[in-house]
Amino acid sequence: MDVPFTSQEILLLGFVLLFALAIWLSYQRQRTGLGLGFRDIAGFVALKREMSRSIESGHPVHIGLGVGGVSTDMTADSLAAVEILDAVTKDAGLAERMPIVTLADATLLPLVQDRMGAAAGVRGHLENVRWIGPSSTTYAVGVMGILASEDLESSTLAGVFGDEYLLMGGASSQHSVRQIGAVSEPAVLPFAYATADELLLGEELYAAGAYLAQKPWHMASLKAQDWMRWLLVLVIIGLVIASALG
Amino acid sequence: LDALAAGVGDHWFGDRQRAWVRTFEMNVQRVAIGAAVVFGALVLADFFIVGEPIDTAAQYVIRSASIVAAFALILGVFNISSVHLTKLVKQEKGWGYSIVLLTAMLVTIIVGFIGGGPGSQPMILIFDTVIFPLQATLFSLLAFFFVVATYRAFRVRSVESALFVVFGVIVLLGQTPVGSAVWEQLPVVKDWVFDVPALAGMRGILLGVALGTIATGLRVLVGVDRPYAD
Repeated sequence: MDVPFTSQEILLLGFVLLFALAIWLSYQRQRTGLGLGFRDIAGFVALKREMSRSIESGHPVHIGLGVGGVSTDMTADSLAAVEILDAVTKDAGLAERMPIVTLADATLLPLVQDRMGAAAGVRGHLENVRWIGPSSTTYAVGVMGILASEDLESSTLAGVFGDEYLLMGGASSQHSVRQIGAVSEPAVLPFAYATADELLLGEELYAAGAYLAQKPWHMASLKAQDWMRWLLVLVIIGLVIASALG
Repeated sequence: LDALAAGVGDHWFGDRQRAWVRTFEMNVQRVAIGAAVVFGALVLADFFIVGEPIDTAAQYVIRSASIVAAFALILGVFNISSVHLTKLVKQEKGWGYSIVLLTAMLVTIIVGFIGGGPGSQPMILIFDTVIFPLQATLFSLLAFFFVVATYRAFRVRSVESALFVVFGVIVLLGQTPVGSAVWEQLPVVKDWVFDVPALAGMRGILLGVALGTIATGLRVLVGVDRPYAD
């Protein structure tokens, strides 16, 4: 078999393996009782607060999972958004106040229905899962309709979005629906910043499993992410100094 | 299982039957985890290793995923029909729109089948005369949403938003002829804002996103995170 590794690929493979080792070490550290302290993230605090408000007021929250699915190169963002949904629906299921969930990519549909069904304990809440349509325009129009017609407590847009984010964010503000934006795409961040009341920006999106559900492997990988970031920062600084010195 | 037991009675669905179902579910879960780990590793290996038979096998897996995704669309059609039929039957708020939606969907499906598929003349006509103009109309609204969002973002609430406003004004003026008329160095400052702080910030965000993506991928790949089988 022809195995022509380039030096870049070897470096990348080494980085991935080192990352995997860091996650495992972090998990072992956690098991031995060494705490994995994390800073507070306002967006996650707001998510819990909105769910509590929804249960008290009886008005549902809306969770928009965007236009991403589980068969694209943005799958990680969609899975992170499902983690947010998972945590919210567990609270909501206990109070029988399920959120309204919208999505554009049908590959997410079985996953979301499964989570909602498991959280609610009954199949009757599945009408709250709404596949709007496969295109971003259709999705934006559908969500804008829900924001206008349903008596919502708040709206969370988490996952993969494009320019259509601004239409939905603008509609939220127009109808005075509090909004939480959770996006990682740099081109969409300004739209989220301008329209959302609370934000989960960039990598914060991937921390949902650790912050909201305290899943051990998620906490371990989050800590490993910090370690790897420090490593990269040190490498970048080292390379800058080396190139400055010639 | 409780619902099933209640439906058929304990005589037909007792402890032994429950145990069979649970064992079956566990085995299905094991197969799902095994498949995810094996196929994930295969596609990852294809990224690093060039050559047969890994290339062909990985391409086959990726193509298969596309086919499964196409089947998911059928679930989507069932979901949308179910949501809007329920709305129609219960005469919930906005049920009139549900009639329009279901009729449009049905007509498009029938035209697609009779006309000869998505590339046929009647389908192209539907796209050119209905869908594209509606999409263009909606996205033309973006300009107005931009203005409102910019106004909202330019309200100074904190040090961060003050910096946002300062850099926003520099970029706004730097992009227009009036900027260089006010101060000839303004376009140069605008370019520096783009090339240094904005680019550095974006790279920082992308670095975090890349690490988050790798962490998610690794968890799924080794089977400790099982979104498909939990």
